[in-house]
Amino acid sequence: MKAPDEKESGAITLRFFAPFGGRDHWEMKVGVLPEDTLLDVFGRLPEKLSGEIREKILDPPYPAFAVAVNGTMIARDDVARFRIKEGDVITLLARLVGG
Amino acid sequence: MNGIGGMMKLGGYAGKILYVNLGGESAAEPFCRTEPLDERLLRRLIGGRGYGAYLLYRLTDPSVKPLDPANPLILSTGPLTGTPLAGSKFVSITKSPLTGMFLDSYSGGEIAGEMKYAGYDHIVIRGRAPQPSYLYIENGKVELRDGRRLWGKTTLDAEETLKKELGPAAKILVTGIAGENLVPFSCICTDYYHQSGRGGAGAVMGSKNLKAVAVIGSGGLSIADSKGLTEFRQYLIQKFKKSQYGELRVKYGTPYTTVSASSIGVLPTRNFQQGTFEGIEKINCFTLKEKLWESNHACLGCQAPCMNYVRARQGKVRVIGPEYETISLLGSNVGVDDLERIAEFNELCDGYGVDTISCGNVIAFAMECFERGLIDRKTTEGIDLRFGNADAVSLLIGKISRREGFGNLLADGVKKAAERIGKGSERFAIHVKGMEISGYEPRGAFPMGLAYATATRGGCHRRAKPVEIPQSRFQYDNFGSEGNAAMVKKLQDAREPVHCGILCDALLRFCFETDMKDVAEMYRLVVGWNDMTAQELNELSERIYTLTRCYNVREGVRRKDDTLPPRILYEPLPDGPGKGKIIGDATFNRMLDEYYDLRGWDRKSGIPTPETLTRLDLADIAGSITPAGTGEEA
Repeated sequence: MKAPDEKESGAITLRFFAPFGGRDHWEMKVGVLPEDTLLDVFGRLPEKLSGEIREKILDPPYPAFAVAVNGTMIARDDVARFRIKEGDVITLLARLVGG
Repeated sequence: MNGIGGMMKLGGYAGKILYVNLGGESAAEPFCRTEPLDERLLRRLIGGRGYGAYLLYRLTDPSVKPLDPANPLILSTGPLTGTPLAGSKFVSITKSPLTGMFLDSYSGGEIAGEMKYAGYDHIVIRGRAPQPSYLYIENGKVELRDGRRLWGKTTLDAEETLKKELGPAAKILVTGIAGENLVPFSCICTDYYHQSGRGGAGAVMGSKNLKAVAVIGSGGLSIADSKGLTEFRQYLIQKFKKSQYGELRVKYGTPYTTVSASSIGVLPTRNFQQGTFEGIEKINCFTLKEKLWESNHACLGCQAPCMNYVRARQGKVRVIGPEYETISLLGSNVGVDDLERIAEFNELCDGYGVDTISCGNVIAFAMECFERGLIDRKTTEGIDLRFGNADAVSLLIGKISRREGFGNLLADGVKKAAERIGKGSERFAIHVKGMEISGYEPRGAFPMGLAYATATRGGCHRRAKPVEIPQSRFQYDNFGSEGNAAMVKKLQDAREPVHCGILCDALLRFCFETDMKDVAEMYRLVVGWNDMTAQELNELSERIYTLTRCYNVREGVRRKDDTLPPRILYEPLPDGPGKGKIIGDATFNRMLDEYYDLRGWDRKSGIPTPETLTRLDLADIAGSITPAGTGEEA
């Protein structure tokens, strides 16, 4: 998952609170590199999962799902800009809000 | 196609309004009579909220107080109610004891369809019974029966008692002990766990000495195109299955909102002092599913069983819920991070028949007063009313419902409680026009503030909920004003056609993606309005929204009332994406000006203009409600 000669700077947690990878409540640890953006991390995930994130969050005109960093939802456009650091918790969730 | 009740042309309608006079001030009226629906109004107002608003407009005036015998309780359905379409509902329409304004409060449950099968689209109940009573309706038979043995019972016990007496065919709605005690945020409950929750329709029942209504209907409903409707229902089911939200909606129901509300910083916490809650993991949907969930539950005819039966406290608590609003207002907003206790609060509120949103708000308000030293243990009768004290919450739900001691100080809602306590507490009394606001903190999403300020029943999330809209779908500014008015108006308007129908708006929004062409197709297939279009429904939406505004204007509501609590307008949030942001007067007024312009309401007064009433074909109903007619011309 990491490029040759690159040194991981630590790990972050990806938490899935919506249907990704066939489940809707699970998490994984992912190594990160210095200067990594969130988009970089998503791009290095297993192909199927990475494609699913693109399909559900990054590509649709009106995505039903979103990304939160340390509990705070960020704009989709910021996924490519947001630099993450060791220990960050990234949550993928549905925007569904409904009572 | 044969119509029912004399309506030969239109499907979906039962065709009649049942008027019941329980006695008292309107003694000139017979005990009961029926009236045919006014066919000229059906295409203009449809039913449910639309036709019901017209009835309330016609039957009351500002001299009628909410708890007067003359204030009608109107139980309304629409032409889609009781059909095979998903999520049939009825609506309780009345002048609200909580706000003094128009109230429409929706509920699922089987009684919605049963009213239609008994032959009535609307049941209008006026007067006051001489003693505790219940209304028994079996098709054309209408009787007022002795309800004294039901008085003092919880909603669950009262319904169970009547079920045993009348048999399973009877569909029943009841009010609880809170309604008997005229608590202005008491509910009407049906099928044990469904509520017309907001605004105090339960107190209107209590004021009429009316504990329950039981309905048995053995008639049918005509459908303009039954075969087409069956096929359309399959289309909706497929659409739902493909919906990105459908799976989560069924699996977790509204509690999923804990996850999203927390992450965008709109989770009411400790009386709206914060927008995030450190105990969220303990009260989110995943914890509910893992620890308390027992089974799913669906409304009449719905293929998306989105409610949760839960069991808590070693099996002592079993309830449908808690829904998101209950988790937020009786959880994070009172600082309680224990889902088992929240389920217990839910069961208590359901049993006493009080709205969990208002109840959570008023208790949280009292907690903040206590922590700030505005009230002490002497006032609270020894209760240590700090945030997080679950025992205190449990105790207060009962005291409020019974109007007992300190509970009586809180029992008229947060606005009145702040007036009684004074000492500057009005600043953090969280309500709009007297109705406590629901589980979405506007400082984390400014358009939500406009939605609360302009909702026709007060601080309500069920007319528009901008927080659920992906930012890219509308051009709006989450922490500013641009585009927010247009979005809020569109969202408000989108709900009107289903609130007139009446079907579940949540299902329409989340699973069918609020496609007005779909809704128009429903009316075409059920009623036979073959030329119904999405555009016509958009016009209907504007008409109904402005009609309810006219009602409120006649009751004295003006621009000054379309506002937000001082905390929400002027204090910054300390956390979440909205940290440090202030809505403020300038931003709020920009949104409101733009909103009035879009609605065709006068900027200065907030009153619909004569041109608007003419454009919306309302001049004959509400023609006097104009800036000039009220002497407030801009």
